[in-house]
Amino acid sequence: MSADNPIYGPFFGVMGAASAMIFSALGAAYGTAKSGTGIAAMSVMRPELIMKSIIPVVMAGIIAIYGLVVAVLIAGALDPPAKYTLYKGFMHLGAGLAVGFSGLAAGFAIGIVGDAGVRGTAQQPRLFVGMILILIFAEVLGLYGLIVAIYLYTK
Amino acid sequence: MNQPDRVGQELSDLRLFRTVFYYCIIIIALPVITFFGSKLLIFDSIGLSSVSSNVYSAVSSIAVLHIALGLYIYRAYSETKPSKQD
Repeated sequence: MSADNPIYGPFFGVMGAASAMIFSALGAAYGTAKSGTGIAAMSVMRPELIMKSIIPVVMAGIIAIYGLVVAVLIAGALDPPAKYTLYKGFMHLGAGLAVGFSGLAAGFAIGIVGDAGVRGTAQQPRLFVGMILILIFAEVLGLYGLIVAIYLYTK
Repeated sequence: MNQPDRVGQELSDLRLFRTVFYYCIIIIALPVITFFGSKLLIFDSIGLSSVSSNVYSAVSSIAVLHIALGLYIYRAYSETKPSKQD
């Protein structure tokens, strides 16, 4: 065990993989639940709009897939301490936190926008395009975290 | 509400459920299949290093995921257009 390969080096990588999945799943769960209450309230009066109003739920699910991809990438690169430098551990922790917290933020945004947007679309169908645009901009926040995480992973 | 109307509504409910279910399966399963499939079949077999084959397969799975999402949004947008009757 040298200074570059301490015994606790993989701890950071493992925490990176775990936090990538945990925080993006937290955001995706909040987004699904919050927009799900909006869909449930809206579908009572306008059940023909179900297919349109599922879109926020799908987008919240995609946030969790971002976290899953990064967690699988990091978990595939983990090694025993002798082959795993502390630098790599820090990189993987940073990658996991980047995608995790971006996914958390994007999931919150998708939940709130999906709730209000779905209720509004039931009253005024032309709001649908605006809701999709806002959802895409919320989704892109998670994508930025994914890009930074993959970039950190390849360092 | 008379009988044929209800039958027609149940048929359209079934069709809607089938469409939504089909797209959900695609959106959930296709990125995972693309990730591991392209990694094992394409990128590992052309002799890339482990890190770059992982990254390329991750990028391709995310691209496939967004294509599937775009198809779903297009379908949902064009689906409920003519159903103006209440």
